Amino acid sequence: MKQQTFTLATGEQVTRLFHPSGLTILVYPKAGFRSSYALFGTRYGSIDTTFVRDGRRIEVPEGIAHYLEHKLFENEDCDAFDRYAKTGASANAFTSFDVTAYLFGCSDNFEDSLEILLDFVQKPYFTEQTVQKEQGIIGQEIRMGEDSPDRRVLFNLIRAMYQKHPVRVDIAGTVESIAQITPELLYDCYYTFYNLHNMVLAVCGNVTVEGVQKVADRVLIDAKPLSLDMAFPEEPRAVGQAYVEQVMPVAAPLFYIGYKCPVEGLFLTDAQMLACELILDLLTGHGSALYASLMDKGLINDSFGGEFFEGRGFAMLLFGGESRDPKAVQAALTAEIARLQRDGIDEARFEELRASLYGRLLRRFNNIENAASTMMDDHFHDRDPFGFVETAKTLTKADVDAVLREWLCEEAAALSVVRGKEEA
Amino acid sequence: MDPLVQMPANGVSFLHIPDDRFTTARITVSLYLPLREETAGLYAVLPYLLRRGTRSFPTMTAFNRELDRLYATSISGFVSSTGETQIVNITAGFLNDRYALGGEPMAAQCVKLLLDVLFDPPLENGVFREADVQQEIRCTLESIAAEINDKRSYAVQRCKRLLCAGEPYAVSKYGTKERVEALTPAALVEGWKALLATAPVRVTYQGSGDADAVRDAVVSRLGEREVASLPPVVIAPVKETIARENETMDVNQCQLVIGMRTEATMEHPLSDALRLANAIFGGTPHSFLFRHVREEQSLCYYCVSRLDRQKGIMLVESGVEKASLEKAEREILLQLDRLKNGEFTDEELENARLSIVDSLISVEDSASTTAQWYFSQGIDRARTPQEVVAAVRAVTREQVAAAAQTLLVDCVYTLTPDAKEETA
Repeated sequence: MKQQTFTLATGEQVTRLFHPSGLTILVYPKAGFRSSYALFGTRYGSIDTTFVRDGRRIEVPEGIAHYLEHKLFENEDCDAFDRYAKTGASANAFTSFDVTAYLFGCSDNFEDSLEILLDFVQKPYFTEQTVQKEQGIIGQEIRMGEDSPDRRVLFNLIRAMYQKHPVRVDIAGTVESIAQITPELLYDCYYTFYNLHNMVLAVCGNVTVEGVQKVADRVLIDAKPLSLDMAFPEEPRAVGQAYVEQVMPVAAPLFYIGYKCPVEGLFLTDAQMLACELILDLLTGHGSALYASLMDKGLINDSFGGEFFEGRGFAMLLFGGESRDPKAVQAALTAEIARLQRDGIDEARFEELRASLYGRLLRRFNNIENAASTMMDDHFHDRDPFGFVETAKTLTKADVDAVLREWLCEEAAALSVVRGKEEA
Repeated sequence: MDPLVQMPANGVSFLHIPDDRFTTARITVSLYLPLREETAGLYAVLPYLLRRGTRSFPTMTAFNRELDRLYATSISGFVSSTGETQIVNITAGFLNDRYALGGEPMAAQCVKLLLDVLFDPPLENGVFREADVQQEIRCTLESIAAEINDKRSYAVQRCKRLLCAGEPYAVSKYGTKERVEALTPAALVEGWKALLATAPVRVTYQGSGDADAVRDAVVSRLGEREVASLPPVVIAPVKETIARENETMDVNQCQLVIGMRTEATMEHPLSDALRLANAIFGGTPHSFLFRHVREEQSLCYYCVSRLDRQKGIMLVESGVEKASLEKAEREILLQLDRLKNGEFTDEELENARLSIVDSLISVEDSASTTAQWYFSQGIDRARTPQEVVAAVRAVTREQVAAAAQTLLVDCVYTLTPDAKEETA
């Protein structure tokens, strides 16, 4: 079996196996750990709503990837949770815009739990009755999301920013869209995207390459090579709407300011991604002049912060928090960005922030859940596991100034606000 | 890797968890005081005020730039509560020396910064600076107001208040709006001095460096003290009839929270049996509540039980449609009766035991869950996860049923949509 080894900044090693079944497997053994964590993911999420299968162009209802994730836990003869109950593992799954992943954490019986994971995800079983049953459960999950101002303010922003890319659609869909889901549609999605060539297994903790390989050899069923059309409609540089607002019961207005990044191909480079992370820290970190000034004016509180968010064909810089006057925060942020675009980053400040970035990246090795998630993300972004730590050491001020000057432009910016009734 | 507890001075407990598996080390100084309505607000503001800077780095910007330079060393102040104890925490997380790019020693610098935050704030005329105080008061008031934003946690807070009205447990860790508004620089400085002079202290050091140096540094800064004792938690009987409270809001989903009391708190012989009862009832995805309320009846997305063994409280939380409220409550109480009657199979019991033991063994593989584990026990106890594993393994089915029988329903809190929303 073809395999590669990567030596990490900690001196530990990650092995990448190209399993004959078609699956890529990443194994990160951690000495001295009792517990393990496994993620089995597919490059398939809420944005994959139209695709070609056997020459047919298929359009599926919004929210189907998430629905499929729920339903995959039920096999013909039993439920995956009942099987995990016998190993003691703690299992779950999630669906994002572009990835669906099934996972478990455990201390004992790792190989038994891994077998359950690999097995149930390969055995779909959907009937009218089981599909129907999930409507009530997911309906309540959607209601919960509708009542979450944190979620609404973010999803409203993304919808305002993106004009064409399907990231503008809510991951869970709507009560109406999920009502259209049938077993046939679920099978269409399943057999298109749950192909081992399109998937990855990432494990970390008290594991060995041999142990993982042994289970994989036993349980994985060879998959046919796959060619998937992953292209998305071209996204204009400008946002669709520069401002969006929703009224909900909240104490003070919540806001997100987003900058849409241009993405060539499907993903940014490591250096571009790290430049974005550093810019967020430059603007929102507690050491920034902007943070101190917004605090002094009473415009932000502790909840203020930045996030970099990316997936297949989309990437954005987000600035969010709570403020009595979100538009004033946006004005101050825009002015500070203009100043930095004019003057560039201060050399000494750049060095401090690069040290800080390096320190934060090194923390990702500490926790087996984060480490496995990082490996899976890196894989789906066509990056080597943890390769960004080396990039952080060589990141230059010019890399950062370029992103600042070229990407953070006003036409690519939007503001989303959720406010209470009395302030509206 | 067994933790070592020492009492190096009166009212100081030093817990060393030797660990060289992580890229970072962590030191937390926790000061314990009784949770009281009169003082909760002051001690909620204080840690945030302290972590703004030190006499050597007197502004937030200067202080945080120093932390950036030290590879994103985190020095945070925060307030928490456990049972009826409020805890003021200052914590430092920093890279181990071997990862510093310039080979600089990290621990000594970071310990000094941590202790300066706690003992040497930038005072003016002997009190905290007015502008800093006003800013932190504003932030705390905004945190109090924002409790309404997350409907699930808001409903849990309201249920706790209904359950424990008049007891310290019902006091929010942020205190009340009125008390926070009334704070002054002089009152805060007095509160800070009193805290350092009298509060029992737990110092936790997680790392592989020189623990004696850390211990001695903290003890010498604390000096000679007259330490106050913490009152025992109030154990009250349930109300004669089940109390009900309904609140309406502009929401889509109803929140249902059922409050119960139990006498089986930490020191009670059935305390570990109650962990198992909770897991069987609503603590796992193979529990009674998950299987019957969610999977069989499709009533909700989440229905879980949570135990506070410090206080002797169990809450059941669920998010449901208004039309399903009564049905969900009936079903939850039916499952509780089954538990009390011992209507669980040996397999269900063993699965619950396996699940608890598995997660206990995982605790020490993460610095934050390890910290949380010891932290929640207070300063006198340091029971290891292994000790609890042994205790859980020894619990009998009769003890689980007996523990379940200590659970008595006290109140039901519901949050439902406004009348306007129903007709919409």
